[in-house]
Amino acid sequence: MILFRLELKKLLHCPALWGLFAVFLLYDGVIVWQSVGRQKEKIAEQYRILQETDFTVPGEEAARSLAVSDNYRESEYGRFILNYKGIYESFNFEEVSPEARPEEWSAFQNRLMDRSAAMASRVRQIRESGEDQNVFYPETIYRIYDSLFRNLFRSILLEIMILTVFTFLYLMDYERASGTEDIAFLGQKGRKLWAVKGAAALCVSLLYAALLLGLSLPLFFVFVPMKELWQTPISSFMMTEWTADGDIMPLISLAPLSLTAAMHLRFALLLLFILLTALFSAAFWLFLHSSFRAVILYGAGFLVLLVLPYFLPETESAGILTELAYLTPVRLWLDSGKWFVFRNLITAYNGNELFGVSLWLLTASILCLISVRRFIKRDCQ
Amino acid sequence: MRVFGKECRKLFRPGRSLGLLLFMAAALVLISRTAQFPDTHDKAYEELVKEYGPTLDQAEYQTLLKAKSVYIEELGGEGWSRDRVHWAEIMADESKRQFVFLVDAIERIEEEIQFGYGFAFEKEPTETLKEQLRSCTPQEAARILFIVQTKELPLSSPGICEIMESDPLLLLILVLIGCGVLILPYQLLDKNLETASLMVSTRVGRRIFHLKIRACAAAGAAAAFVAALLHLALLWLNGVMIFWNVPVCGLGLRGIPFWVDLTFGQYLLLWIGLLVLAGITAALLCALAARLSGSFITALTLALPALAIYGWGIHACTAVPLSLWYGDTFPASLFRTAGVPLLVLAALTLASEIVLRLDARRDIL
Repeated sequence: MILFRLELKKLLHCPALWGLFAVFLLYDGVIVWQSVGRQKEKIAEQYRILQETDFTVPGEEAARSLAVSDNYRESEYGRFILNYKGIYESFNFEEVSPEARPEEWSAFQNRLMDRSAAMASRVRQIRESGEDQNVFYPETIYRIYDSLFRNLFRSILLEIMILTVFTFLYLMDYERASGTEDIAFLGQKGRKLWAVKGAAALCVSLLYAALLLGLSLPLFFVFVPMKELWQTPISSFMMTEWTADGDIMPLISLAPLSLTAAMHLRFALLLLFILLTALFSAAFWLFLHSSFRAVILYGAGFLVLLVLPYFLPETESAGILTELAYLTPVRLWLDSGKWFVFRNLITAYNGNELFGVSLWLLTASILCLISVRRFIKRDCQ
Repeated sequence: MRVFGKECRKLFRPGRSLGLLLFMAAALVLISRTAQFPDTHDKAYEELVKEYGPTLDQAEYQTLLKAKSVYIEELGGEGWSRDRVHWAEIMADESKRQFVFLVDAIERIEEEIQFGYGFAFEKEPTETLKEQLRSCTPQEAARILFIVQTKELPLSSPGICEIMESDPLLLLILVLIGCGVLILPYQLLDKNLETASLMVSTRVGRRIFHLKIRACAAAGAAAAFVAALLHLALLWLNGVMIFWNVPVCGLGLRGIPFWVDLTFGQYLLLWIGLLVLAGITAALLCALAARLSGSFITALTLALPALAIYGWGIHACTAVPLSLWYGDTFPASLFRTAGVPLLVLAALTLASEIVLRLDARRDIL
């Protein structure tokens, strides 16, 4: 316990890491200001309109009267409702029954078509249950969901991963940098020190994550009132947004999910991401015995995983590799704005994010075990 | 000089240097706009430059218009683009397809002249141009009017302008990464090998700190040169060099309004100069970050935000140097392009000098 406390102290007394944390916090503040802070009056006025309509979707007549209102915000809101209220009516996925599918289709194509059929049934479920008829800030106008999850959350996730890597490598390399490594290696207790270091680094990483989330997210919600809106399902027609291809599309959650549930699931996945980064950091350092090489390996791995999906086929000849390329931690981080919602047919099944992270956790654990065994057998240099 | 050579050898370790070189080359090939050059539209402008040279005078423009009618005849006369069956046939035929893009390129030039973006000497500005001039300062308006009153119309392509706008940022990022990879471990080498105390114990040893900073600056410049050379090689391989003498100062999609008349080659040389300046500054930043740190991770923790802020700032100042896009005057634009990077470099050199002097007075590090 004394060792753990001392290792913890080393990390907590490192000004460079706190400096980096402060820079990240400042950057998040800039993101919040850029995305919602600058339009806080508009958002507040929209919230007032939602309050006046009792947080229910106005009917056709009410929407029409809102659309012709002199108040610009009200008229914008009314027009949005008239345009997109029935978006799920005109939207569906292709369905081809197994009997009607051409024989030359590969297993992968068949799987994609199954997923397309599942999405079609999910869209029907949304329509029938009325999941889409819930109010929120109109996404094409205020981009609240996009700002919160794609801009802010994605950036926080990357920052937490960077801080985790740095925290681990800093502590693992501490003895080498201080010239006390040989002494630590001499005794059995000395070698166990690295396990204590791992535990301390994980605790501090969690602390950084809690602080970053705990300071950035409330700042976001200072500008975006969310009272009565937390239970809005993600699949509400209010979340209709412009895609990168210039199409208009609602956010279709793969299972019925409210914003609160989605937030909780995100926190759970974030914890898994921290664990994954921690395991890889420990494994890389134990294997390479150098923080510089570990950082280079991290950077190279990140870039390879980033470009990998672009080099794999997506059509007939695509297979399991293409599917796995979409489930790498890097790809999942890139797509973190669209976790639990439809991104593409390749990842259109429930729990794809959890499956991807678990797969990589398993890989990292195996790598970590190998590295630890190798480290224990190591002679003094 | 001998010690400096040894320090440089420590800096440019073969494996690390080769890895960095491969990384830079791969990034340029995979991400840069140059790697996608020439697309079908650029090929048409390439043909025009081969035939007419870097610019068009009015006589050549008339010849070009005649050539356009010949191309249209080859494509099946007026209305060729509306016939969908015919269109499919044209696109299947390689030689005819080239005519399509040539016609497209000539029509774009015609359109620009109609908008009053070229050959506008002794003419009143068109409505389109007047609309643009309304949001300009008097100096900018005067410069734009000077640009459009050209008697020689540049034959640059939209792809060239895209290269000018997007590739410099990629090169800057590569140079910043290069500086980090080369300098941070090098500056910490003596601490890791525990030879720093030995160094500071003698006068000659203490002088090595000066040499180390110089070696770092040289490494930054070298990283910038290598990135620029790789980019030039890619430009040459993809046939962009044919546009070297083509003026790029203009309005519309085929030009950027600059405060001075620049050709594509001159613009590239200007950017290489700025990149070298950025490389040296980034090298000094990394050297200082490593000097203030005890381990690679702390150095990286300091260098990462410092490089990111520097890169963002320098990109904001010099993304398209000397262009009219920033809404300032020519002297302000010149200061933004050259003055700001030089001032930052001067400040960092001063900071390095102060750190070196403090080191010289210290007993043991």
